[in-house]
Amino acid sequence: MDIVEVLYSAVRVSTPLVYAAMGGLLTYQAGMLNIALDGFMIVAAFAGIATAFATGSLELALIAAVISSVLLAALMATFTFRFKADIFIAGIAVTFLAYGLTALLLKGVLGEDGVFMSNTIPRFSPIVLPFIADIPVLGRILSGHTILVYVAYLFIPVIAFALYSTRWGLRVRMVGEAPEAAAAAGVKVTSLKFQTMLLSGALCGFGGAYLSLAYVSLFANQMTAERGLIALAAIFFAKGRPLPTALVALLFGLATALSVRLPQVTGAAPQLLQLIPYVVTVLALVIVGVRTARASNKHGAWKFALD
Amino acid sequence: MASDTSKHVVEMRNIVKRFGNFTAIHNANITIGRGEIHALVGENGAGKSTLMNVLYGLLPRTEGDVLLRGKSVHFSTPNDAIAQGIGMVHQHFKLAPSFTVAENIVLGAEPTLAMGRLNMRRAETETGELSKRFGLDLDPRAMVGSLSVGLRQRVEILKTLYRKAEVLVFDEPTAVLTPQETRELFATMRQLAQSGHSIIFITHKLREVLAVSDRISVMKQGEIVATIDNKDVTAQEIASLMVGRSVLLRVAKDEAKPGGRTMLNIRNLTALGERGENAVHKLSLSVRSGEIVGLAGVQGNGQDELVECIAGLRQPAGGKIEICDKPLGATPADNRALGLAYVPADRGGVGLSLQSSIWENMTVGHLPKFKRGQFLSIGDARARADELIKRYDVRGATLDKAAGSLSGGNQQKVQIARELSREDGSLIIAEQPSQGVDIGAIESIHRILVEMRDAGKAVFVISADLDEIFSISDRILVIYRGQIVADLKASDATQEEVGRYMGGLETPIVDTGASVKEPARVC
Repeated sequence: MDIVEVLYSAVRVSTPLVYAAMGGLLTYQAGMLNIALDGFMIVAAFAGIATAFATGSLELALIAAVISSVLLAALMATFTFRFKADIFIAGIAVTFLAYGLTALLLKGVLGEDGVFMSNTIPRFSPIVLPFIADIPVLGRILSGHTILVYVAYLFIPVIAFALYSTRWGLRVRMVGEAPEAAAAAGVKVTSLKFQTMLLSGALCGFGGAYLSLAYVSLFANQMTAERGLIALAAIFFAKGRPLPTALVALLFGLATALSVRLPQVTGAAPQLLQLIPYVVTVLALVIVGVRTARASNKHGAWKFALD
Repeated sequence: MASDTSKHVVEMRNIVKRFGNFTAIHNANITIGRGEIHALVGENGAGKSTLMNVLYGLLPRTEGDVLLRGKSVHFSTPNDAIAQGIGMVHQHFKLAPSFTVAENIVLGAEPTLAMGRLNMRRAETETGELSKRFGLDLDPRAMVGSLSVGLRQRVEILKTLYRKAEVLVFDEPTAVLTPQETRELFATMRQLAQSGHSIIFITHKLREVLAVSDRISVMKQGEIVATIDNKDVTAQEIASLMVGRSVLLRVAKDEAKPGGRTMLNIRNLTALGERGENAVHKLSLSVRSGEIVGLAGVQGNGQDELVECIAGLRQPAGGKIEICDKPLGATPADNRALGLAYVPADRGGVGLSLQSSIWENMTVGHLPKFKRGQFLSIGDARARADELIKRYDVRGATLDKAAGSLSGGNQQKVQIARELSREDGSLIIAEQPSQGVDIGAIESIHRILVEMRDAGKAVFVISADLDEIFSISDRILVIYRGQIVADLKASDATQEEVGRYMGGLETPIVDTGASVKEPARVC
């Protein structure tokens, strides 16, 4: 097994997780548990491939993907803020709506059941990074990806900057931790939450477009394969800080890459090895759970069963 | 003073505020002069907060006029009020604990560089200068979560000053402060007034009103019934204006006749706080039958942990607790079986289920009495709840109403009724029994506790309110940094003396164990 090749594919595999995680951590920092990341990505994946198929333009496809996913995020925000739905229920509703709608349109517009692919769909071509490509080992891992991979990793510092160095970011984080304090200081709490939700949609739009146009070149029902939930696990593990969240997402990506490569070398049942990324996710959540339990129940305080 | 309108920074004329059919404020008139400290007093529910929320733009007024510096204003959000120089120091601090002092202060009015970048350096120097100018010493880079309550209040005050507030509304600011911190706050208020700020001081602590205010407006049932110059009035007069009848500020009771039996016996108790510090450190105390013992202390000196240990809500790290001569059980239910009746401070969280009906709240903890095989005799339970509502005079209560729809005082009566109606409850722990309760109800709650004492029960009252401690206790204990530093006979003690112990200014006089002077450690 070629380690460099596994790492190269980890970067590739982690890309949609990074998009979803960056989107999800914005809402997390604003104090919302957004479980509709999969829903956002699946409409984007569909809108992307349908537009690419119809127009032959990847740029238009990307725009369509982002717009469709932002619209879904706006719907989610409307449920939550306008109609005061529980954000968890709204998230489930939006996700199921997205799964159902894309399956319906797949049949209705593209005339396919389950999977759509076509040779006429344009693909993102790999870009060789100047200078970096020449670095031994590292160059082979980091270079030669499509533009959407680079954009995903560029979003990490951008979002860190936005959250920690700007007025907007301070307000978002305050809204997340102490909404009443923010409101009392004249910060428009709902408006900021709305903004982070739309941005979450936009980032998932990139993630969805990446899935159907770059990672593979096809659309399949529920092809996001719960990447949104895995991204949420990364966010919780890293407490919503951008760089650590991205690193955890990369770890999950590495686990996936391993689960694809390991069967070839070990001869173990591939079905078993495909569990690796999910086992890693569960382990991460167990750590989060133990950590929270310790933090809240330490020093002998009574544990209320319903907490 | 009242005739010269140009001196008035704020004038509220004939304010009416209705919520549906309910009129919360009738024709309220109030004027605030420049550099004046104006106390707004009244019972809970008298409309003080509603009136101030109208001023602050949180509630739209139904009728009337608000004049700011002589001009009529309409605030639809607090932002409008803030922009016009009105600031509110909230009772429950509106602060984000994991952010710095400077970040909390500048929030909403942040200094920025190009592209929306925060200028934290400027924020820190500005807040530092501001805190020096008003003598409110604070480190702009300190985390708010690590500050004491008194310092957090300074952050709240600085927040309003940073926005150039000229009129500051203080909503029950002393509720959480030590006597020393209160004195410092009053000094700050006077200094602010001298520098031309106007201060509206909402409170129901009459002694403080007399100590600091220039004029006093008394609210009762949505009306301002009187505005008086401070020098012309006594606490007794204000109290009768507030309630509409004369109030006993001290409960009438006979000398305690403590029985021989120790109902609560605590020896060398150590308990850890949320951050792992020794919140209670080798603490010993006892409460006998037939006496009311009041535990005075500034919030956060281990009272919460102590009470949680007695109630079984927290595992002690060392020492022993005996309830009615028997060692503490393993669960809260065991302790109740030993004879503990517990009236917690956290009514909405620990004491009651606010969404559940009143009869259900009154029945919990008495379930065996209504057991019919595997079922519950709802009819009997409701009949008993009905009787309790009458006996404890829970106003506005019907059986099926949600407990949360009652006022604070009546919620308190519901939990007191449930706890004290237990025949086997011979040790009563009442935590902040009059918190958020109006004067009329405080009186009747105190009377109930005295009745319980006279019936031979042991009553242990934990309160941050010295007036309450003095009004009800036979014996006063003072807790400071997790230890009992004073054990005084209530009739001999003075508030000043207890205040000194609360602030740790006096060395402990009682022997409470081996290492009295060792301060609470933070791990």
